Amino acid sequence: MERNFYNDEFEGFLKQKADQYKLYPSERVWSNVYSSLHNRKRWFTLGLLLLLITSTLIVSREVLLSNYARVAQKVNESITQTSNSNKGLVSANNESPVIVLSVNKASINTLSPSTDRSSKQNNTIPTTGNILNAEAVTIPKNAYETTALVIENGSMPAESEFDYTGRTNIKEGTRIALALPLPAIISNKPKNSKPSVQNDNAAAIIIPTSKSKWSLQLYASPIVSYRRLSNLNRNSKFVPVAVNFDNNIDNYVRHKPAIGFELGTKVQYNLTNSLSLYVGAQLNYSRYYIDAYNYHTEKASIALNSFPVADTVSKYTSIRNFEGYYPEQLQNQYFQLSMPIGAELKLLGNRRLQLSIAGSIQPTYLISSNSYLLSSDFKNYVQNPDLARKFNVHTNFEAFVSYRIGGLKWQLGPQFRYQLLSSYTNDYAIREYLTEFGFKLGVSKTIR
Amino acid sequence: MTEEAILQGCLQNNAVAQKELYNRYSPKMLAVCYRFAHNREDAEDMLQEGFIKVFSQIHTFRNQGAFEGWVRRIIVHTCINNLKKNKKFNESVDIIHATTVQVREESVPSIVQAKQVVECIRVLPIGYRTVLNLYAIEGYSHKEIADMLDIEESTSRSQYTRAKQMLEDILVRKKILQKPARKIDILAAFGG
Repeated sequence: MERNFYNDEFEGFLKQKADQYKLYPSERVWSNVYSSLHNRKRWFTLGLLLLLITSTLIVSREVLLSNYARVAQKVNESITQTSNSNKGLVSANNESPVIVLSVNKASINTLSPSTDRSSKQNNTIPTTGNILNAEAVTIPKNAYETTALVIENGSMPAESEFDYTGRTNIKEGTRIALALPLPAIISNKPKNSKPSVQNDNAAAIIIPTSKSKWSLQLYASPIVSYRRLSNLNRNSKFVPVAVNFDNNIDNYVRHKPAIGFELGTKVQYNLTNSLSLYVGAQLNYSRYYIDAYNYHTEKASIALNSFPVADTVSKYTSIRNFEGYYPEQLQNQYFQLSMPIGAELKLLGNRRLQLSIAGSIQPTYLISSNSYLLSSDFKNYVQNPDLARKFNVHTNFEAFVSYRIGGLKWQLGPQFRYQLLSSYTNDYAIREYLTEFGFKLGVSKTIR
Repeated sequence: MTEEAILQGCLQNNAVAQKELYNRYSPKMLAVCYRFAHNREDAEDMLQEGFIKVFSQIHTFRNQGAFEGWVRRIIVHTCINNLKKNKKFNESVDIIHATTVQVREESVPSIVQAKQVVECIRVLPIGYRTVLNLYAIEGYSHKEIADMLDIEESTSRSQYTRAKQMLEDILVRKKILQKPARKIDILAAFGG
């Protein structure tokens, strides 16, 4: 009986004492719990952005290809109509049908009409994967007598006896493969506007230059983020702050820059040869370090600028700004989605190598943040997501060197990004403005 | 903020409500973890893992019984799983050999009583400590403990008996308990 009583008493004693005991976890535990719970949202946003970028690329490509196909079909239809009639190539009046194809300058330069037979070989372009449509066309009987076919771009089979003068060596029934690498426009054009036509009644295929004004750019940049803390706002006289505050918050905190990243895409429109406008979407991960101390949990207050009625937020925290049990390094982290709208100006350079500057304004949405706010007496750091500003505005300035290789334009250069509004709502007395320095690498492709 | 409001907020993945719930229960739950863990760091890791489970499974709470009890069960199971996963538990749960373990008195700090008792429990070999924690403090039956730890029910009983004996000795030596001629008076818990 005594033993049973003792057993119950002993276990009761243990339970009572164990339940009385409390330990306060370090700030690290909640930070990890929080990021584990809310990381999914971040990944969802990141995934969404990547999906948008991929979709943009795919749609651009599809539009491009459908343009090629549509134009090539029109060209073929026109050629077929012409070839089905012996008189088709020779207009009864001076208004001969003209097929105008757009092509880049390089192709035109390479394939200028020639009367010299020896240059024929030089003007022949081998068939490559770049050719989107190669349709066999039968040159009608006697067509060569009345027709000048001036083809300034395309693939000519090496065995073809087609001469660029269009007058000789075209045998009846010769099949010519026309390659149309770029969109074409079919229009009626007076024959006398054709520089290469040698016969007044000739139908001609003329391929002038047409350059797209749209381009798509992908870019990424490692950034070093820091912050500027400013003085309290004009309502600060209602906010109790630290004693002997000398109006420079930097004297009371130990913050250090940290590395983040920037990732984005933009669509650019060339207004002139040197000026272009752009709009895009951009992900930003910014952060900086805070040197603090771990201490036992205590109450910390943030006085709010809720003029005219003063209000205070009180939180429990185990992080101290000054003395504590042991040092602890915290991070203020911000994950944002921006929409840069800006302009780019070419300063100097040629078609291949250029030096440019660009600037943009960026409406920004804060996807998530993990930040520590300084209490009003500067003694503690506390977390309060309610005071984080969801919508902000950034500005960006960059200078870069760009170099064109093939169809792609690569650019590299320094950039600076600044946050125009405080990271926190106006209720929080201390203003924090993020600044970022980065080195951006971008690649652009013209959308045709 | 009422408990109901906190629960509703947590169900909507509201960070403020989650923090409120965490602030309310984390000190108690860390003490639970600390009794099972090897050190403070391990205890915090267990607490972290436990709270992630609490928040991700909160929709399964059916309002049958106290919410704190539900949280506590998740935390205790997390601690047990953690010990098993790290093989720390399996290596030292050998009950037969554990009886020979010598307790070093100097490892028990002389501090305030609740902490003293907890530190005395932590001095026990991990196998003893785990069974004692589960049976005497968390209120699990020997059958439940056997299931949780993958041991025989009889093993749990004998382990608990030895753990209790060892703890009594420690508490008496630390003068937290007095052992009269025929029975032990419990001084501290019930006002002397």
